[in-house]
Amino acid sequence: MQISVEATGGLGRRMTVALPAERLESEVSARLQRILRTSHLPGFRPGKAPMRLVEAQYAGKIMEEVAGDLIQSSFYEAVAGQGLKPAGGPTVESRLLKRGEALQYTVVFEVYPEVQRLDISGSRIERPVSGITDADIDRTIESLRQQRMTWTGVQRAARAGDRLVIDFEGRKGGVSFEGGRAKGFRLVLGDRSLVDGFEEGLVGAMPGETRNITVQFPADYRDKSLAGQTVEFEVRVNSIEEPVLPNVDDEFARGFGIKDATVAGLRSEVRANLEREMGDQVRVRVRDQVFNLLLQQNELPVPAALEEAEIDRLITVAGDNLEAQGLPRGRVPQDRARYADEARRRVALGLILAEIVRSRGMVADPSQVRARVERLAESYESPQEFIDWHYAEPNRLSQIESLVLEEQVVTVLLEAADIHDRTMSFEELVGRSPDRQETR
Amino acid sequence: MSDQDLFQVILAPHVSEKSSRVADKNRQFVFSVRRDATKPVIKRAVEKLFSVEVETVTVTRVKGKVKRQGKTPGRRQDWKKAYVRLKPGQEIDFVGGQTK
Repeated sequence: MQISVEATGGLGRRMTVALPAERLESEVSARLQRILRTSHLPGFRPGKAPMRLVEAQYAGKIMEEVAGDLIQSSFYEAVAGQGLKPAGGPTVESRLLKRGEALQYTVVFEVYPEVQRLDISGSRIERPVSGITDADIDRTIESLRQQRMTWTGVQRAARAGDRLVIDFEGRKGGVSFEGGRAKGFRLVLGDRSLVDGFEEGLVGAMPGETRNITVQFPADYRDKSLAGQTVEFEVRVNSIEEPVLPNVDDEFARGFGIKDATVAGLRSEVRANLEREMGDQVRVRVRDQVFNLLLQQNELPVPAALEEAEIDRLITVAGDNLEAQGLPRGRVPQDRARYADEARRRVALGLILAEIVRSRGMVADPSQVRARVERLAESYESPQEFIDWHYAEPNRLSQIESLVLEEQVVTVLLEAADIHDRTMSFEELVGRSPDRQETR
Repeated sequence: MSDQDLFQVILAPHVSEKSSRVADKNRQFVFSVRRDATKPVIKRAVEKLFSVEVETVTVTRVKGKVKRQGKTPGRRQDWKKAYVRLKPGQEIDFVGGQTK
C-alpha cells in the first residue's frame, strides 16, 4: 500500500492511496465466484451460466462495491499507519478503478488539532469568597413580600404607588376617538403604563372625583393617529387602593409550604437557598475562568466537520427550548453564522477536555455521579423513578457522567493553579443572575 | 438477395447452455434466424455482420410452444435456429459488445 499525504492548509489533509492490484482482483473474483454459483440467467439452469456471461453481467457493479469497501477499510488502515486522527469522515476526491490494475484513490479529510497544554499550572485563578449576611436574607424576604402584596381600598387622595380603578374618555378637539375610552381600568400610579402626564394628573384625586386632564402625546408615540396630538381626557376615579405588604410573621412563613413554618424557619430556608446559589455561582465562576484559560493557552483550529455538527446541535437545542416555551420551532434563527463562534468555542473546549481526560486516564467517579443524579431527582415529583430511569440503561447516565467528569477535571486542574481568593459581597457575586431582578 | 436484406436475416444470438457448449466444443455459434432464410443466405449474413469466415451452417425448425390462456389454447410462432460453424481460429464475441 502506497500512501502519500499532503496538508491542504489548517487541518485539511489530502491523502492518495494506491492499493496493489491483487487486493482488488482477489476480492472481485471471490465475489464473482459466489454469484456464479447462484446466478439466474435466461437460457441456463441456476448456477450453470458460464463465467464469461456472469462477468459481463455483474463485473461493473461488483467493482464499485469492492472499491467502496476497500477504500473504507484501507482508509483507516492508512490513517492509522500515518499516525493521523481524522475528524469526520473522508470525502473521496478521485479514484482510478480498473480490473487488473492497482486501485488508486485520493481522499480529503480533516484531522483533530493537537492540544498543547493540558494544565493551567501557575495561572492565576480568582475564586470569589462570599458569605450570606442578614441583609441578604432581608432583601430576599423583602422581595417575597413584594410578590405577596395585596391591595386594600382607602378613602384618601391618590398618591404614587396606589392602584386606581378609573373610567376615562379621551377627546381630540372635542371629538371622542377610537380606543380612547375605558371603564373599570386599573392603573398603578408610577408604573408609567400610560402616556406621560396622565398618571401625574391623577395624583391627589379623591375617590369619586372626576378630573379633566390635558395630555400632549409625544411626536414619536406608537399610535400614529395620536402622535403629537393634544388630547383631553375626562377621568372618573372610582376607587383608590393602596398596596399592603404582608407582615413577616409565622402566617407569612406558612404560605411557602416549608416544614418549619415560623419566621426563623423561613429565614433559615432562605439562607440555605442563598448558600446553595452562592456555591453554584462560585463554582461556575471558577470553572469559566479555567475554561477560558484552557482556550487561551490552546489556540485550536477547529475542524469544520465538527463545527458544522455542533452548529446543527445548537440549532436543535434552540428549537427544543422554544418548544418547551410553547413557541413554534420555526422561530429559531437559521442563520448558521450566528452560531459559529459559540460552536467553535464549544468544540475546542470539548477537544481539550477530552484530551485531558484521556491523558490522565480519568473516569467519572460513580459515587459523585450517584450524588448528582440524586440532587437532580430532588426537583421531580417521584425522585426514585427518576433515579431508576437513569440507572436502567448505561447510556442514560452518560450525560450526567460527563458533567461530573467535567467537574473532576476542573478540580484536578485547580490543584496546579495559583488560586487567589477575592472577598465580595453576595450581591456582587450574583449581581448578574436574572432571578435577582425581581427585587426592585 | 441484396446486402441490405442480409441485415434482416439474423434475428438474435441464441444464448443457452447448449449454445455455450457447442461454441466451446465445435466453434459453432447459434442464432435465431428468419424462417425463410436458407443456409447460403445465413452464411453470407453471418460473414457480413461479424466479419468472419463460415465453414458450415446447419439449420433446424423449432416448433412454437403451445401456451394456453385459461381455456383458450394458443401457440407461439415457429422459428428457425441456425448453427453456424466458423473456420478454425475465428470467433464471435456476443458478450463483448454488451459490457460497459
